[in-house]
Amino acid sequence: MKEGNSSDLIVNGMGNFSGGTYRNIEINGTGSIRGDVECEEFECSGMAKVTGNLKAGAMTADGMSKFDGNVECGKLRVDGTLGISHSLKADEVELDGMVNVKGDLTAESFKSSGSFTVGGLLNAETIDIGMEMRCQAGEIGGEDIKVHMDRAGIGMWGKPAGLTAGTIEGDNIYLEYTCAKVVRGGSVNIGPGCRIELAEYKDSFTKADDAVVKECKKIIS
Amino acid sequence: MNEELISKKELLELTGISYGQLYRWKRKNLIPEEWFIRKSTYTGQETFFPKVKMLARVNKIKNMKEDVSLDDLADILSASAIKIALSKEELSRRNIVSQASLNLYADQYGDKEKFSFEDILFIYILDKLLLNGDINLDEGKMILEVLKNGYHDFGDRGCDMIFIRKLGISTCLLAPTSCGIHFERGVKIVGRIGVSGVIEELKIKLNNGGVLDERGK
Repeated sequence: MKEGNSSDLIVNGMGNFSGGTYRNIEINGTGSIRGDVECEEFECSGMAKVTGNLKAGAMTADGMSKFDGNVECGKLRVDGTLGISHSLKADEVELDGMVNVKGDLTAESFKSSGSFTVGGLLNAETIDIGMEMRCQAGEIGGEDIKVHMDRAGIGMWGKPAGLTAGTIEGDNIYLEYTCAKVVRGGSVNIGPGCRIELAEYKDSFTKADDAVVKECKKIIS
Repeated sequence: MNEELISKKELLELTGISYGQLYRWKRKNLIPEEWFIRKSTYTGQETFFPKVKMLARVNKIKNMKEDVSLDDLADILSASAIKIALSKEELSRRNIVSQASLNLYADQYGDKEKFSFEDILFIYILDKLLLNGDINLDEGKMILEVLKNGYHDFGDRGCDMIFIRKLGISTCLLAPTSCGIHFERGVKIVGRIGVSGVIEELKIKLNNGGVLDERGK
């Protein structure tokens, strides 16, 4: 990142700003930024809208933020809501609020205790999903995937909490209250409340009594 | 293009890698996005890969990941240029390109103090064809000209360099990677070089200190 002449952008009221390179961006009121932005730290406690791509060292989304492009950042913490129209790439994602990513979400570690919707692939080395609300992903892939219920099935707005995904693939998989078409992996453990159409495993397979697995196959190699 | 495809499941069985590894390599961009081909099957959407390319790539990563970190590996495998500048002496001493090709380049574009990655790449492609005895020096000049003018039009997608000859008249062209081209019957395809493949080869060579290694494919 460039050193020296880049300055901070702090919005306490309302305003439109142009993109570019900043040191820190802090939005406490309502701010909209046109174009691509690059900064060391992006913090939004109010409402932010960026019509472009964001590249940040770290990002905290406490308020409402919306991006019309791709987001690339080091550490990401979301306590508010975050919407991204393309893809999100981060080193570390910690999620307590709500995230909606239309494209792929790529991270080294992904920890969620909020709600998320990923249109494409959720890809991370370790995935830890604690559910209080509904979570959804097109595909999930990684090494360790753990999905568990945080507050047994309370949910929000009358909808029970749970995860819906097309395909889940990983080396070690543990799932609870998950609805998926295909689950594939080395060791596959299906916990309570799951509805899986096809499960394929290489090393081991366990299933809770009330889980429904329509078809289960061992991959022979 | 009717490339043979391999499903993700078959690939893992065949190569013995795990889902975790495959997704990690995808995250690190070791496997190009366009190799992930989505197709619908009775179990829903499945991912397929071009079989030959994918197996070669997986083997390459498996062989090299012991010595090189995944991030460095991504640099080697990506089609983008690396920042490097080598002098003429260094290039010939490290056996990267032959003296003949260097001289040809110097004749055409003047002598240079330092050669950039792109310069080296063009000379390397020229070198490949020259050393095979496929082309003569005049034709070599034509190749350099075409590469210099046309290579940038393809950007990161990469291109193939095709050299053809008919009744002793030769010409060359650049085409998008592995696209199908139909020539007239009398045309002989002297050489077809995938530039992205060459870039990988060259990067490994530059990284290895120019020692010829015969690990090949």
